[in-house]
Amino acid sequence: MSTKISFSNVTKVYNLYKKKSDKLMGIFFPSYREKHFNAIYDLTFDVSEGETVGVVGINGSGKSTLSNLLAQVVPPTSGEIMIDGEPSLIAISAGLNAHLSGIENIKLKCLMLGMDNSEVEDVIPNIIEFADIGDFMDQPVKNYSSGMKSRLGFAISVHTNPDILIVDEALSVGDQTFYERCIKKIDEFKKEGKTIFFISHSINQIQSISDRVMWLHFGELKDFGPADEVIKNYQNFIDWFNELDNDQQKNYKAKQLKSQSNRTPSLKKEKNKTGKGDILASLQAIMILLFTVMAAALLLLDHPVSALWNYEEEDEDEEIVNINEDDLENEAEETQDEEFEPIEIDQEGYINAEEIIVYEDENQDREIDNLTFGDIVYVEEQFDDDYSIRFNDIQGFIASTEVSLESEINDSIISVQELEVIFPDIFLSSWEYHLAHMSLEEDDIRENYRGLTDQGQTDEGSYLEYSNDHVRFLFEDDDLTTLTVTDVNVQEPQFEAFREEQAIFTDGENLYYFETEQYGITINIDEREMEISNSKLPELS
Amino acid sequence: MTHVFHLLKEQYANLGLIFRMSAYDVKSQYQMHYLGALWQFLTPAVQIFVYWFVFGIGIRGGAPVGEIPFFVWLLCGLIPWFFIGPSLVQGSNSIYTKINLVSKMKFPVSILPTITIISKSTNFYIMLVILTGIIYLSGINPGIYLLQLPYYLLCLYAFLFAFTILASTISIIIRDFQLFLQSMMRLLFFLTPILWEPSRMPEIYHQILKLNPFYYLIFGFRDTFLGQGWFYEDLTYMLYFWLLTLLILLVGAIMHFKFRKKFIDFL
Repeated sequence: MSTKISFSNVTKVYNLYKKKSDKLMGIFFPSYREKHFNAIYDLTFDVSEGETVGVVGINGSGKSTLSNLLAQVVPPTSGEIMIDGEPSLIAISAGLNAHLSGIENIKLKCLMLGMDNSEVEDVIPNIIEFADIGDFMDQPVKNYSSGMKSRLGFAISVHTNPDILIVDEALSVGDQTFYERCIKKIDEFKKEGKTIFFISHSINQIQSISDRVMWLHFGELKDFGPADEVIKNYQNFIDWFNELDNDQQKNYKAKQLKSQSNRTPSLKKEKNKTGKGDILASLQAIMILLFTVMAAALLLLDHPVSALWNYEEEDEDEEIVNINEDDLENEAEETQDEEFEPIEIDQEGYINAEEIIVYEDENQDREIDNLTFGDIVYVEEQFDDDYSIRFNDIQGFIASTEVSLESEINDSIISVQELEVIFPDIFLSSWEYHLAHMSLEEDDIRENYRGLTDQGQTDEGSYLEYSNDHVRFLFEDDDLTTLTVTDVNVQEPQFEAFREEQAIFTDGENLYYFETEQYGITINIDEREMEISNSKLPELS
Repeated sequence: MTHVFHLLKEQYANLGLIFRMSAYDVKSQYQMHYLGALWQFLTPAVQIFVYWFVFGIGIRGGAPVGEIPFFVWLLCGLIPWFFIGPSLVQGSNSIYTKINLVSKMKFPVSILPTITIISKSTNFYIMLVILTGIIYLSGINPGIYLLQLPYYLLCLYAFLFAFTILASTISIIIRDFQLFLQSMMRLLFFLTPILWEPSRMPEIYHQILKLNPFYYLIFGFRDTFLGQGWFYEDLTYMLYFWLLTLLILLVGAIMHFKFRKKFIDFL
């Protein structure tokens, strides 16, 4: 017969903490001990296969702690436990969920023990039959009597095919019929060569079942041997104890308890093994913590890699502009000295004012033509404050402030949403609706809009105005070309910074031109109007 | 790292058990109620309606988010959250609530949080299917972006697993942690742009908000379902999220194995 269970010098210490905070201290500083209690002290024994061991002892002698140690529910404080097989613990209501019904508890327990669904289905009828609690099977366990609970618990445990069965007082609440049935089951187990621990206060029960009996006395193994012998000793002790008067009993117990708490256990307490593994793990954790913090920093710095990239590009752009401006300034100074020595520009540019006059010479004597906002001209040379320009094969002069040169324009693309801050309230909630009409014709507009307030003709085409909606549509040959939003909040402080940064070009005070993916947008500060045009300005070549 | 592998191995070895227990959980959860499993959808439906009404109609005046109707935008954030929130809170409490049950038997305690997460998943997947339906019905086609859904699901599970392992261990040792976590989750629900969109916020606050890992998950799901971006477009953020998850997992695994034997002692 092989050894099934082997305890060597097992001690279980419970720390008694007065306050929650003491408990916490105990967790983090294992050496921190206020008061402790040796539930099991220096226990050593072996049990072989097929043995039935009874455990006796008065209250507080460590029987339940022993059963928990056997079931591997709690770890020992020191010493070693060797168990060969799957233990199953039966205590009153052990591991039953009070809110679930009996049948659900059976299923849950079986699942938790690792059975699969078909196995569970197979075993359920057996358990129900064994427990024999009738219709209560479908009631929540909280409504059970203690007898029913122990019947159910026992029924489940014996049907889960354990190698080692630990019965902790579970039978003491069952009636005689159930007891008989359990004994039969236990005998079956014995025949199968399974090991059984039987914990009970009933000396008769112990005597009838056990091969050997273990007597625990205030945490220590008082006696372990053949059933009859130990039971006789135990019975003698009980008789002796009962003959003592009350005070003596109290004194005896107090003395025993005191010695139980004071025995400083042979705490060769496995020196908190802060082994290599732990240190390595902590190191790894710290490393990853560092990396995480670094990644967070990167994030907070708003993608520095891409930011750097963009920054360089911007720098280059600025440099070019700077060079140009420097050149212009230097040379402008020179020209002043040398009386209107022209500076070469050779760039295209957009007209940035509403309407300008083109002169024949730089003294601005004779007008030859008009240009409007957004027209493209080719700037040849600068004479003091004027540019000599060419467009449509016409040569002329305009003021240098009236054109935004290619080197000065911005190429940012914005979205209509970004302009939301300046939308009048009514338009804000419906701008997508309006923009959806950009591809439609005049008739559609008339059909879809109510509240026409004005219509007419200008030299750019016909227009329809719906001033309640703050919109005006401009058509050219029935096709919608421009949607003008009136009463925009150009004073919005957020917009001021935005327009300086994002405008493609501007005359610096009144007109700002933006581009989205789809539209060209001109904002007129004085008129408080925003023109959304179906077509963007042609690009400079 | 050995702890982490050990932990993952334990999950893998008990995969069957995890799924059986989760299935049992799902079945038994609503058994006491007359409407049964229907409550799994009624509760979120009521919440969605309230949030849509208060935030969409009340505060935003029905304005869409960009081109996306607010209702759809909201759903894309809210549905993952309905999974994340309860999974985290209940997963963190899972060991505590079951310890009495499992302490009387040999049971791999580390799978308890996983069981909670998996049992919440059924509901989540059904909701995702409904969400996809709603998105197509409202004329949005995420197209090829839907392919990154498995990636974000992986992110989601990795984070949930890591966090619940850590939190379930802590909340055994320090019971207050559970209450703290519950309030934190309520706070994070509003600090994560689920009900409101952050684009009008000054950039620096926006970046600070992004440190919250739920931000990554919620916006990942939005990008996926609304077809707004790929997961590799913001590599810094991706790196941050995974490092954070790994850190939590590592600390969680170390703590779990250090304390698991003593769990019962702490109660």
